[in-house]
Amino acid sequence: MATGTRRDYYEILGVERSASVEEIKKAYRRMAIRYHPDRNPDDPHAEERFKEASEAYAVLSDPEKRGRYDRLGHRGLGGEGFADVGPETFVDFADILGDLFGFGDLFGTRRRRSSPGRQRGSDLRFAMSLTLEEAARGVDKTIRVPRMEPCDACGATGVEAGTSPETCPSCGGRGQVAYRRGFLTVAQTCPTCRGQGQVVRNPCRACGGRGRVECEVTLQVHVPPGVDNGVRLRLGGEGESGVRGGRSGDLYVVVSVEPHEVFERAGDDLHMELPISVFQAMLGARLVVPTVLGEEREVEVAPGAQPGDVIRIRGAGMPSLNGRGRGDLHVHLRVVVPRNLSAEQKRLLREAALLGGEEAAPSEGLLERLRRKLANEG
Amino acid sequence: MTIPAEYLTLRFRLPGHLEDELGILLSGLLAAQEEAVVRELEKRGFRVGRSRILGEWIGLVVHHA
Repeated sequence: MATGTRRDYYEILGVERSASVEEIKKAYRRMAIRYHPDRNPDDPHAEERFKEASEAYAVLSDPEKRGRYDRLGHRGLGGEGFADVGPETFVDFADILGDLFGFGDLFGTRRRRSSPGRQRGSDLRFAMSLTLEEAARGVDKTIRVPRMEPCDACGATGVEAGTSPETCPSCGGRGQVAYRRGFLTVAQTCPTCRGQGQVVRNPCRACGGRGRVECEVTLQVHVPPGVDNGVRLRLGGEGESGVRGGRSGDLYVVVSVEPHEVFERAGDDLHMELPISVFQAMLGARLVVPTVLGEEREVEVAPGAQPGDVIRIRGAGMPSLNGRGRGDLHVHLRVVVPRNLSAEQKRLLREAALLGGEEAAPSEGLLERLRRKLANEG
Repeated sequence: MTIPAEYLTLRFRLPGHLEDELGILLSGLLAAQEEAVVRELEKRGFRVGRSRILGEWIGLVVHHA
């Protein structure tokens, strides 16, 4: 619908009257790249075409202006047009170039436009300490986590009830501003609203305008069997709540397993020390050892066992975190030599030693040996 | 007489205040002076995270160093 000498906006962009916003944007992108003055520094015709395209885009990309234009033509815009091709259109141009360069959101402002001020909440970390038994069996733990929650008083808007946030006058709600100086274009976060797209004149008194308040929540955490030091359990969406309706962050529960008085862990395997008497070492024995899951396993000490010998009990270690079987239990033998023997025990042991071909008399002391040596030399 | 582009040096001036994470487009003749722009940014405590060239356009994404 051309009026007077002015060209029809749809014709300028080369799109149908029924074109979608996306088609209009694509058409504008084509023309903006082709006719931008920086590409055609000595061509006044190109500059004219660029301005026309920008004006057409400024109107057709705005549903309200497009409606007026469709009904009443250029008259319906009441003198708007080039006057309207301001920073807003320029940001769109930066947006389009951002698309072309693949920089996405930095040049583009689509995310901020669709959800002004929204930000994902921070992820949180919670340190959880477990006993070895809890790590072996798995456990359901209740934890209390301090975190930011949406403010009930203002419905997370950060605005006092009865008022509403205003669109940022500096960036028009886009959260970004673009400056152009000759051949240099700089697009950056709007310093007025800090990228929020909105400014709050009357902040909520309960949360000070942040839209969130700090509180402590109780959560149930299921810890699977087999967890080890440093394992991180992710609880999706249980981190801090987002800003102005943004997605919540995640909570990472970081496990640490306390040292155990009997077992020492090495991956899925466990190691333990088993004290046995000299007689059990010499003669062999059948003994019972506990496992971390509270079971009892029998071990056979072979006759003549040496201190430090290791007996492996398969499948008596920690459950594997991936649910496939269990590690092994390594039993390290420690031979305990008795300190106080009765006279009868000593006599029997000497006899046993003599039978074994050993001289069982108590060995003489160093002083005694020295004295004997000196007497022989003299 | 037309002076070849490589002999031309354009003056450029960055905005006084720069936020963290900003996008910069260099176009036309200034694209040939990308290094000078990057040096200027580095003096101001920024570093270039990404850059891409499309025809005669150069796009830079810049962060606080």
